[in-house]
Amino acid sequence: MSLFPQFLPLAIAGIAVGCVYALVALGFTLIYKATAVVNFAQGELMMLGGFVALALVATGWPWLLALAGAAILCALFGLLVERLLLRPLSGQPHIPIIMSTLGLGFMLKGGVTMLPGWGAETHALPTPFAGLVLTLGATPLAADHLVVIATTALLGLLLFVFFRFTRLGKALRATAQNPLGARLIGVSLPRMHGLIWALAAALAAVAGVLLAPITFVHAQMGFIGLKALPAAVIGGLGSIPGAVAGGLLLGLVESFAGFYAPDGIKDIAAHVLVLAVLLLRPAGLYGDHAQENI
Amino acid sequence: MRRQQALWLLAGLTLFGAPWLLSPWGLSQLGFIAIYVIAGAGLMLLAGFAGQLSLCHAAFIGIGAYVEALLQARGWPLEASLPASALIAALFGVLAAWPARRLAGIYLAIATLSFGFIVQEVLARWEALTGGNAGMVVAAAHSVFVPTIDATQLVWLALALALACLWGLGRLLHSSGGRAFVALRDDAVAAAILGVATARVKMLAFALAAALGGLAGALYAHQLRFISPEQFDWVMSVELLMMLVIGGLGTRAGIVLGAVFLIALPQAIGLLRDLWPTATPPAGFELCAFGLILVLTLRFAPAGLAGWRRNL
Amino acid sequence: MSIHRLLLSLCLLWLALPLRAGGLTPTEIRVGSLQDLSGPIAALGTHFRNGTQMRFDEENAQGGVHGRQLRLLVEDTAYDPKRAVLAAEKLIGQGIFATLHNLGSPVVMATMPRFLDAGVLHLFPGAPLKEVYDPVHPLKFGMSPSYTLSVPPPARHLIAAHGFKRVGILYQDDDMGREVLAGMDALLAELKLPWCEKTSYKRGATDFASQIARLKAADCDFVVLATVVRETIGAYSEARRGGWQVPMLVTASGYTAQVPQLGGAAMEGLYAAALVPHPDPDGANRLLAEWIARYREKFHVEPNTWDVYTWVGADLFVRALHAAGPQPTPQKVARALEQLETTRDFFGSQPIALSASDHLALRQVRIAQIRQGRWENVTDYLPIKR
Repeated sequence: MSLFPQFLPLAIAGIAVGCVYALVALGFTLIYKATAVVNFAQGELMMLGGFVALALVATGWPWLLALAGAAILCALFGLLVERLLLRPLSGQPHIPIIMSTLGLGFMLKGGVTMLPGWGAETHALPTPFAGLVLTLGATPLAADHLVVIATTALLGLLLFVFFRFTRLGKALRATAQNPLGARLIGVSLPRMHGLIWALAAALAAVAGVLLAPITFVHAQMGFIGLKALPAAVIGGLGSIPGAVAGGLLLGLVESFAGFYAPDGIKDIAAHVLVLAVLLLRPAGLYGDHAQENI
Repeated sequence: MRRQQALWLLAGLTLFGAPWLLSPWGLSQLGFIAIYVIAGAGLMLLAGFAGQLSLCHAAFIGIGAYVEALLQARGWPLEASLPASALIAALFGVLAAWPARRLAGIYLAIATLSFGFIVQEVLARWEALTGGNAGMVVAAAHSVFVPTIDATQLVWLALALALACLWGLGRLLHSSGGRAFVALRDDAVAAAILGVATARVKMLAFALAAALGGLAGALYAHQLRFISPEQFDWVMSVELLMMLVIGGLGTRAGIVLGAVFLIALPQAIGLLRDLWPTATPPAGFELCAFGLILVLTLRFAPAGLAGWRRNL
Repeated sequence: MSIHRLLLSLCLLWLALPLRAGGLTPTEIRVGSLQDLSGPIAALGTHFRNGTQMRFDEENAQGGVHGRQLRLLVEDTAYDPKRAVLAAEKLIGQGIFATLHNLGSPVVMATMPRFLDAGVLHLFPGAPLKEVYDPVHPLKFGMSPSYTLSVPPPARHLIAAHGFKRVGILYQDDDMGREVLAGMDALLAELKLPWCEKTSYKRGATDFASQIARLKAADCDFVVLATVVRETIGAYSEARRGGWQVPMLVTASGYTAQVPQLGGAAMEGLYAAALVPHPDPDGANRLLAEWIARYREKFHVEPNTWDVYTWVGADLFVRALHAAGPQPTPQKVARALEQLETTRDFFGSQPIALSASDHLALRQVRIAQIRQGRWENVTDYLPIKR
């Protein structure tokens, strides 16, 4: 059996799934970088984004506007979460804050499930390119996968420009690297934290909408958040290029392991990868090697 | 001091009398609470006192459960199978400690999470031994003195062991070994400089925690009477950590309060759901309510329920 | 009073809460049901509850059974066996006559012994396990045969009809998938065919590109899918998207309206093993159309196969209750169930005949196929070999 016909679609599928992991992992990393909190509700924020987009499309919005709308509404929700849930707990040790995010995740999942008629069911998000197949020579490529990859690349570029060249982005970076120093130069920490959460929630929402053609929108969608956390850690929690690298690596390893490795290895591959990376580089691929406090 | 001892005695007597007085529902809850206290004591030792954030505790519980089930099926009495379960789980704890030598904080947590997944997978794959994903029915427990242990006796045993664990934990912490654990948590670098063999202490902490987890798992197997690999997943590990945080990380009272929160609260929410006005309350209500209570508890008692009095 | 003592006292009071009412009162027959209403299969749980509730409410509106109202006590297990055990103890403590449609294999395996020990009728759980009906126990009745039994007949039929030689499988790596695999192992041994390729996935997986690629690379000409709703769609559409047109058969777990609805045109041609008919509004007879309308009005969602499954199961129970007379006991109702025989109803269900030596209700399975976006029956009911 020749390898090439499978290689390209497998690689594309792996990269596409990896991009979704990367988007969610980016959210984890942003929040962790700025506040040292691991957000256990990141997957549920993604699920929320999917449902918001579903609601917007149901009222007649076209897909692209629904994507933007979901991102904006979830960003506002992220601001709200930071203000109501996290700010009152600032100054506390990190573990109770992290457990609070776990509680938030339960509330989101349970709350969405409670929505009459909608919550407990699975829904298809009407997407203009769903099911579309392009062909490169003899290899079929799913449009869903290509859109995920393209959108993630675009977002990655936008984030890079934002953090490197805009004033707000630099303020956020300062907050993440040295909170005390940032305060000394006049950066408002609470405002930065709010913005970080808004950004992380928006990224999760986009991930949810991009994932919808592949997994459909349902209350258990957030399960992927569990995969994205190892992805963020592999990349080195606290490193933005690391989150992307970790996500892509995870997606590719899973995709190739599923084909070339014996049956059943695919599901363990991710975890073996995590252990292998952490044993070789204890702070992740791009992580900071200073001691972590938690 | 005497008054406190008298109170402990009273509490102890009440607890020991309780199994014979409670409804089967209350008895079941008490049994699970005791089991989770034992498991929680192990995790508290590791995460609360030694500062090693571990998210694979469910794996140790699972191993204890399966070892117990397999030994019981071969006719071993509890007196032999319980220590065996704890011991074999402790061996896995040593295995889990190996990545811990170089890792700390969130990285250690994720590594242990992955370890837990791998153990769960092994339990599922090794069908010849464990029955795989179909699970295993657990034979009734028997001891050298009692031919068949019924539900009440099992809960009594779990309570006794839970109290013993809590007492033992207290003794350990006041010993030099215990101080080494706390030194590890508070400042590993300083501890190393002061001559604490950090790698060995970490391994010991993991082994002890795993042993307690295994013991809890063995009792869990009999309490539930049916075990399957999917039960011992990351959700259970996170629940255990959550339980300790709610109770109060770093306190023994926290272990008990957390276990009560984890076991009894969903049941209480269930009763609340029975009061819902329409015939079919919406699905997801119990999960949402639990999340809300969790968030509110942490908001107003961030140091946990055990530390609440201090906050007031 | 210190907080600690207050909490401890509250805790002890809570645990001592007595709950006794009895499963049978002069005015009520209390039936328990363990469902997943907030966990991984909450989508099934709500429909399982709905179908049962609907039948009970219909009966209550007609005056109940011998003057007693049917009261359904639903507990949420969230698919967690620990919570299931607590819920079971709670229901037994509250007093129930029977337990109906408990959902989930781990839930059923953990709780069934307790219900049986307490003398509670254990009826028609949503767990296709052999232990639920075999060996015959006076209080145990099953609805679905285990997958090991229900998958071979449709697979055999299709293999014989089309002459397939290279059979592959994609199975969910849990107890369900294992059972299907065991059944197909036996079938292939009987037909003297080797496996072409076996692939699996963990529950919750979203990407099937590599599994489909493997099945394709091994050149399978027929694939059995031991998958639930989303995975069926994911795997089948992945195959079709890649231009691979090999026929596939999904187990009863994938036979719901959602599969063609969510999957769209890509799902065309998929076969399924169907135990219970799916309530299709198109071309429905009058009784079915009325049933669908009543369901929609009551629950504000579309009914699906699981509602039919539980409505039929609840209906069997109600009939047996009537036959057992004004002073029913679990034993009397069990004897009445054994004497029940039904014929094809307005859903198009298979005839059901329980007996003293066989406590399994559904013993036939038929093949359905997605044509023009809808499930259509391809064969009549095929018997299941016991």
